[in-house]
Amino acid sequence: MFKRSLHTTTKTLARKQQVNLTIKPPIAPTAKNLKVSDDHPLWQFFHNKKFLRKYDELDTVGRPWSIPELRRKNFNDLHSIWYACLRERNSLAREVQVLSAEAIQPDRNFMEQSDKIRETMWRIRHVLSERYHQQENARVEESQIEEFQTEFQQYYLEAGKEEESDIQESLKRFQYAIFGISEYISENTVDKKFISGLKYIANLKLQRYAPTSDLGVVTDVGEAFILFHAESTEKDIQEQIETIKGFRSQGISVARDEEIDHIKAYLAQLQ
Amino acid sequence: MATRFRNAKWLDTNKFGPQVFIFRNLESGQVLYSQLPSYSDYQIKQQFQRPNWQNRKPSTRRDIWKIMAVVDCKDYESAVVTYQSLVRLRAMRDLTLKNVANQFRPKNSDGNIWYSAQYRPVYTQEAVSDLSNVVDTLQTQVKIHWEDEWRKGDLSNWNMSLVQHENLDRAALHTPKELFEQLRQQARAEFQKLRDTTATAENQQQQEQQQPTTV
Repeated sequence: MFKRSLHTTTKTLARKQQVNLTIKPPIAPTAKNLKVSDDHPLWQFFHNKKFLRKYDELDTVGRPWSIPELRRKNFNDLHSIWYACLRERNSLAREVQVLSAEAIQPDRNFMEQSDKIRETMWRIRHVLSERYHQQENARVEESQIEEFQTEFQQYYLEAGKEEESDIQESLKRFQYAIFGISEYISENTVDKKFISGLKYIANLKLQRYAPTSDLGVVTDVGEAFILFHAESTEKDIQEQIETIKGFRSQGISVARDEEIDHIKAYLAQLQ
Repeated sequence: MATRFRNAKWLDTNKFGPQVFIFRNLESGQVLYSQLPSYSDYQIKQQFQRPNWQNRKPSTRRDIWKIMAVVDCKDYESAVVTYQSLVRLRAMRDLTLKNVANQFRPKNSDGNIWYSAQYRPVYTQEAVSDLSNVVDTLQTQVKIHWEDEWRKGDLSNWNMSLVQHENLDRAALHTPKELFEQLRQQARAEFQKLRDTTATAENQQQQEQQQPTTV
């Protein structure tokens, strides 16, 4: 009896029984516990916060933007369209990925939609590249500018009186293309290029309408502005030459470092 | 340290918290319970008694075991009982109630436990169920720090009057050593608070008993 009470099995059986436990079914994790803020950046990969759209919710009737339509849009519009497309393609790609767990091939309906958008996107790139090449072609290099100036000067000075209206129009285009001088005062920005343009055009006018004058090359910006502003007739130019001679006799001139401020003030007065 | 069973007194003397640590295997989804913030071959031997091809005996690779939850109990005794109950439930699932446990497990078309590569998600879900079951049965107050709030499942499975769910700091999970140290200090501080309030209440009771009754 005594011996048996020391037996291990007896001791084990005599051990105080712990709480009654039994196994229960496993608890699956749930996404209900997750709280996602409405402005979470990953929502951009969901269409209207939907996990997976049905086929009838896809836009199957639409077509890609055509190139002529895109050509009419400005850069900001193209940029917006591009991002709208990119976001839509991202959510489609995510949905295709979700579906790919079940199927061998990527889902056809979603892929067709994605391909349509892809078409719009390459067309946007195409339109932008067209614009880039046009701009590149239009950009004249420095050496070509000099060549162009010489050519224009020759045309301007040698043109007959019957071509007067043509050369006035050409002059407007020339001064805008080379020096950025617009005929509308408010559009102009007075800078170094603008000043050199004034001087260049003043000398051109002087050579055409008063080739025999003894003014010489005009370097003063005040004088250049008077000639630039004068009407393109021999009479008016002659009058302005007299005014300039009057200034020279009085010793009125504009210092080189005050040129820009001086012209800005003039333009402000004219406005 | 985590190489044998530790009783309540040992845990207190060695300045551990009244906690149970639940690790999960990233590769297989298996779960390991430990009394300390570390584990060893002891826990693996104890908790994976009948390994088979669906429930292999895992290795002690440190990179593959990540913390899944830390349970803060109200005192050391209940921490020890919680740990023991979890281990007992594991033994039931693996040994005594093997067939019952297997009925609950989702199966693939071959009739085996559903898996993807080495991963069987049901083991983690069983551990969550066991933890909820233990809390319910022991009727003990616990605070559970989850690595991912997703994993605790539907809240209807938990006795909300007993359980307080917390989330572990995601960034802190990258440095578990510091995280465990912080959790240990918190748990010990809370236990100390409880001990102090109990001691004060007992003192008051004693004083009331000692005071002579005046008529």
